[in-house]
Amino acid sequence: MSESHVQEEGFLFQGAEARVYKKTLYGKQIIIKERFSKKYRHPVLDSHLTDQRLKSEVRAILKCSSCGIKTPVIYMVDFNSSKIYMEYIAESITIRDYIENFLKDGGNINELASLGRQMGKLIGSLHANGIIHGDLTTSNILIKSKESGCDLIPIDFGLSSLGRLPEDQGVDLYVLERAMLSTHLNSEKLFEELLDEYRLSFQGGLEALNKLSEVRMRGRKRTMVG
Amino acid sequence: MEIFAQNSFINDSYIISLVLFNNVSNSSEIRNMAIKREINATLLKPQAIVDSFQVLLAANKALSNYLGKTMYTKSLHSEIIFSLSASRSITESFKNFGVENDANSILIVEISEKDKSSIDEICSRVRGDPVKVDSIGTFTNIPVIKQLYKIDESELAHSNLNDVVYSRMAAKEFVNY
Ligand SMILES: Nc1ncnc2c1ncn2[C@@H]1O[C@H](COP(=O)(O)OP(=O)(O)OP(=O)(O)O)[C@@H](O)[C@H]1O
Ligand SMILES: [Mg+2]
Repeated sequence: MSESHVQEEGFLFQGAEARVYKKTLYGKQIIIKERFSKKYRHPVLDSHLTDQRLKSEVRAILKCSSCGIKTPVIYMVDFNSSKIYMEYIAESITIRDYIENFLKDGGNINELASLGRQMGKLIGSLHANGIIHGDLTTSNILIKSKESGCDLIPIDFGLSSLGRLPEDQGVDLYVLERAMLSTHLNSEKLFEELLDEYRLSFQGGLEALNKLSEVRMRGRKRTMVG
Repeated sequence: MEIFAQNSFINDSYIISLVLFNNVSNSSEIRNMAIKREINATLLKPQAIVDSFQVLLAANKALSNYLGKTMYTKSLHSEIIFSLSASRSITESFKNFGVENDANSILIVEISEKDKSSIDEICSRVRGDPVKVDSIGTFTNIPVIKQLYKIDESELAHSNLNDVVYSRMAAKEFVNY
């Protein structure tokens, strides 16, 4: 009598705190993101933290979608198994893979200026809408091409928060800068393009960039001492 | 009669069965049987439903809360109604998604263990015309949906209605609408 539309779980990704599966659910391709516990944390504290991460991830995604920033549709949050069920963004790859493929095919990273600008615009609009991503990396933005150009889709909002403090915005940019420079060789100019567009597209951009400079200085001091 | 039956993705030893009736003449009788637990099913107002996926999500969420002993309501079948709603008020959820005494159409939802479904027996009590669950869209009342889920026209400029409904349900426990 029943049809099985719930197919085998396809394993996609295993991170430090989450496991990501792809699955077909009643005809829809979905992603299941499961947070697992950290053995060294106290169990009660741990499940509280896990719930908080699930909630902040969903809150930020819904905020994005209500502001017109494309993010995966959330289908269900199951606190009993610490899983978020969401839309699978078909035919997309991470910006990280996109850049790596581009370089492998003989491209020069400085030809990716327009991608940098589009990233700057995206982060500007996150910040303009009061969303701090908390873990900006090139792995946490998906790119999906369309008839003209491409869409950028931010994901992985588990460390996000809502707010408009220039300090937080600056730190958000700093995290991305560190991630980009360490992941992608010679990405300095690409990141500059990103910041240029960020400043142009986001009213509070200049203030956030000033904070970024401060955070960089602090970061440098810390590494000199430590 | 078409029974639309699907495995639960929370626990595949459970099965979710949906049957849609139109031109129902004894809805208050059916409703009373459900209240007295003579029938073990949820009776939904088709006008508040956009598609079967919405119902399957709510049913799975209810089953997870049931199995995890984290239900907000007293029974698995009332938990489906709570999970469908964007509101955290149980009374309001019932008012918005449960059938009324004079209802003309009913969507019946049953969650049961495999091979223990009594959906045929439940349906035999309904005086009305069974229609395909696929045709639920013809019952959907979009202005009602927008109001129940507090969906703003501006949101629909970049998202489709069904997707907004799913995400409202998903986040209702911790986001206020
Ligand atoms: N909705 C989605 N559609 C397509 N691919 C996705 C989607 N969500 C995640 N992925 C893929 O899975 C990878 C891991 O997902 P995600 O970044 O959310 O988890 P994570 O890095 O393990 O999380 P965290 O850093 O919070 O522990 C992504 O880099 C991407 O390749
Ligand atoms: Mg990630």
